[in-house]
Amino acid sequence: MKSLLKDKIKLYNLGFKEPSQRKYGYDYSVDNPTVLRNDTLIVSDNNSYIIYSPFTNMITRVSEFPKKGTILEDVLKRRGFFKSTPNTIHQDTKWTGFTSLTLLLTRKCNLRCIYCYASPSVDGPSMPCDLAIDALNWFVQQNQRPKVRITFHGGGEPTLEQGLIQKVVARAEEIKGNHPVHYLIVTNGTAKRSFLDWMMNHKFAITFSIDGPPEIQNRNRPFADGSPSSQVVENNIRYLVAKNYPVGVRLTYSSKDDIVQIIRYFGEIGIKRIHLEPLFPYGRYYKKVKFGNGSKYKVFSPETEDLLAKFLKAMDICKNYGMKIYNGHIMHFNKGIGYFCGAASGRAMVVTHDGLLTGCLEVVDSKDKEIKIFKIGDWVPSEKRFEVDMDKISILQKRHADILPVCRNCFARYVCAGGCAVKAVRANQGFFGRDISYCDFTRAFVPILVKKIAVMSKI
Amino acid sequence: MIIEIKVSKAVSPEELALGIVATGPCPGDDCNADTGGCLPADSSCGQDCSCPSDE
Repeated sequence: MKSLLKDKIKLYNLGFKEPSQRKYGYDYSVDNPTVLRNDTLIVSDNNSYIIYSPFTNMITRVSEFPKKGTILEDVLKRRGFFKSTPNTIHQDTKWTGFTSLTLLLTRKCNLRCIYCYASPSVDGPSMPCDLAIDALNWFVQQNQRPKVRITFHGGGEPTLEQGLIQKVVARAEEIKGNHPVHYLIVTNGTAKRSFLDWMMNHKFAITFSIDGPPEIQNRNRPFADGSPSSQVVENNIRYLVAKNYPVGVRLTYSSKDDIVQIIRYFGEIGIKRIHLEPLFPYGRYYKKVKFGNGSKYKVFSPETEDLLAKFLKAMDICKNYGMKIYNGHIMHFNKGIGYFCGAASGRAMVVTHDGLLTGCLEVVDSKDKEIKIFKIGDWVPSEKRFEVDMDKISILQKRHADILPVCRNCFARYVCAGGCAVKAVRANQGFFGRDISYCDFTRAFVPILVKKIAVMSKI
Repeated sequence: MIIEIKVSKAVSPEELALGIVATGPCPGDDCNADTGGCLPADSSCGQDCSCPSDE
């Protein structure tokens, strides 16, 4: 705890904010019928209790709460419940280098999405080739994993720098040795067919950012000149689907819109995997972080109850279409996570176009107002290497589910691990605070999910 | 006192159409071993550990 206090003092000096005091150290299990004991959830349900371990996939139902030290608890222990949590969710106590590389290639974009956190422009700056290659070489040199993972991501639209992507891939193939290289990209889906073909040939994992049928996509994600983007993106998705290439979509959802219509649209064009996240009111259109209809914005972010109802509805529709719906806060439900984000835990090497290492995909360059908090290193071009701020890495490693003051007693802590750090910061919760827009959703969703699993498991 | 309980294998949330990365389409090891790299848990990034090169 002394170490955490020391880090917090450093954080204050960096402008970090204290998380909300009212939840500080609060024991959620006192007034909440759901409890996490070691690896096992205890969920109150119809005068009985569901005992379920998401990690071992075992489930049972008992008539009374298994208090500590009772025979019932002992029996459950002997049947395999209440085991230790997996090592994979434990806190990183040392740093052994970055495990993946993400390049934020450019600040230019051909779309003008209303909620974009990065607010790029048509003629924004891009990463110099020297920086991209230095980042790749340096990353591969320090990588201790059997695989090399390279992601091309936002700050702008990465496919506008296709020449740079091709140079990075060519260099990666040169230096990979015996290590397989995986390429991933998140794109707005407007790239030319020839580049889609090239990415398919190099087995890129491709995620298209698209929000739904034309009226929603064109409202939320128009081209920079205001013209509609839907047809272009849809045609590209259909092109890949027709080739049986695995395509996922990233859907930013506003409760203004009909979730049933959206899911059906994706089902009809052949999408099998949808990643749904609620709109977060930050960026060019949103001057103030405020949720729900009361925010006065025409396109607004959902509040907890609304999001919960719509997400459950979306699951039902997806099931009908044979689709899977992913969400950042619950996609690790059966494995558990101690850290919400690879970038904000010092595992991912995320390089901005202007040569910084950032601990957040949304903090995209030196001009971002949160860069002081998230910057974890610099490019040293004269030496073709990167200088990593180990003090900052040490701080990031403390944003762990077992440490965060607002999370450490929560039953859902290994489901969402506190959520997104930058969203906590932007909503004035501080770096060690929770992602408030999601916290209540996750805490409401988990018991419902366990009850659904119990019904399906016939217990 | 004898307490008997029947323990079952729980169905996967995927049977409810909920996408779970740990059992998702990427059969790799480090892809699912942590949140580094693929950043599947970052709600802003949209990655989902789909790795065609693993297939």
